[in-house]
Amino acid sequence: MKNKLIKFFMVLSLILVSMQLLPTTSHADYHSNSRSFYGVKYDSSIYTTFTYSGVTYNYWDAYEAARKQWDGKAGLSLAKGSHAWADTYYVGSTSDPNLLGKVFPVNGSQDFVGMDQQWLYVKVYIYNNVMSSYNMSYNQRYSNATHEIGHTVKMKHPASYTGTSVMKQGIQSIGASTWDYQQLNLKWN
Amino acid sequence: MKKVKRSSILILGVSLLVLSISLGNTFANTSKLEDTVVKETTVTKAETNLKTVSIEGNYVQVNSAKELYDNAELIIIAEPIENFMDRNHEATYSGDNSLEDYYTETLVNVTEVIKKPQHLAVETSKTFSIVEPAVGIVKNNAGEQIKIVTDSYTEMKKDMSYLIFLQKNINGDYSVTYNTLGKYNIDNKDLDDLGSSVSVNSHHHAEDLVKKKEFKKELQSIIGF
Repeated sequence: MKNKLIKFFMVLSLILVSMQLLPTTSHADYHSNSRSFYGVKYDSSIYTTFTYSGVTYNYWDAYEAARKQWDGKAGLSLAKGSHAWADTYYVGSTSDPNLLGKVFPVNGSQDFVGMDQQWLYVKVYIYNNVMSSYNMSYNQRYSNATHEIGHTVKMKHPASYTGTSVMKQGIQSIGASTWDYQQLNLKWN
Repeated sequence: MKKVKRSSILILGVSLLVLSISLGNTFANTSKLEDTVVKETTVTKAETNLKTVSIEGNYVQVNSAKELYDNAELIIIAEPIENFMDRNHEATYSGDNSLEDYYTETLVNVTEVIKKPQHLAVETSKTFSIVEPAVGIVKNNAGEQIKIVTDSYTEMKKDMSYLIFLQKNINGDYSVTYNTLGKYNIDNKDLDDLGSSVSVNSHHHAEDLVKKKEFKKELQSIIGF
């Protein structure tokens, strides 16, 4: 009986010590909660053009290439469609001199909600005035669009990952990396 | 038999000691949390009732306080003179009436000008209007006002002192740069600024706060506030 009591206290102590020593929160690089998928549609603003090194490009191409980086991955469909609740991609301008893009998630009541809530659809903006002020190339703008579309599938800015990821903030010239797809699979599968 | 009894008592004693230390730590952490709650920044009733939605953006990165200093066109130390709710909150919409951008116009009393464009009329002891581009007030679908913020930004508070880094924006206004890295509360009254208030922790990114604390230290040696 005494031995059992001693063992009980020892186990309890070990558990409590572990609770003190181990981190209390884990840092997954994706947002919590889920979302609905009704496809993707493009706003007419994505036909905006930009010039880099004397060559004119349009955002339709950049968005299309970026969408394909995520479409069909981890069993998710970002196919183009026209549903009222489809995600919509835009090219806009912002009063923020260093902001390249952002997403606006919307819930079933058609209200804006935070990144960790349940979403019905998402509006995606990349900001032409800021990208042009930094003289960003086509690949850099495509990378920015890939980053923003990454948010629509609940991907987060990596908290401490030091390898290659399109979800890192800033100007990059890459598509989604192997690590990004691993995070996507961890989130959705 | 005695040996067994002694060792059992010893093990039981050590276990109880570890148990009490663990429980002590747990309670200490809880009381620390309670302290933080008590110290939460004072805000107006209207602000308290406002629902906050935080969304994520992609910002151009700045890697040092020196870079932040060099990239700013205007650097001031100033205090907002109005409560957040009394400021002018603007929003722009795309062709299909979707929210495209939001910002807040904040009137500040300038206490020091550290860097400025040659011909800009900004003077000590006078007011100046700046833009906080990462926070705004918009209406949701039901017509209810909500506060919307980008990343880790928290608005500057009335009568508190800030070191502010600004760049001219698309509208010709001076806009706070690089989200939360563009403003530093220097009288330590704004507990939201470095994320010590529980009320804002939910939308603060830990990595942004680490960077901001490092920058603040570096800026203290560069500017000397």
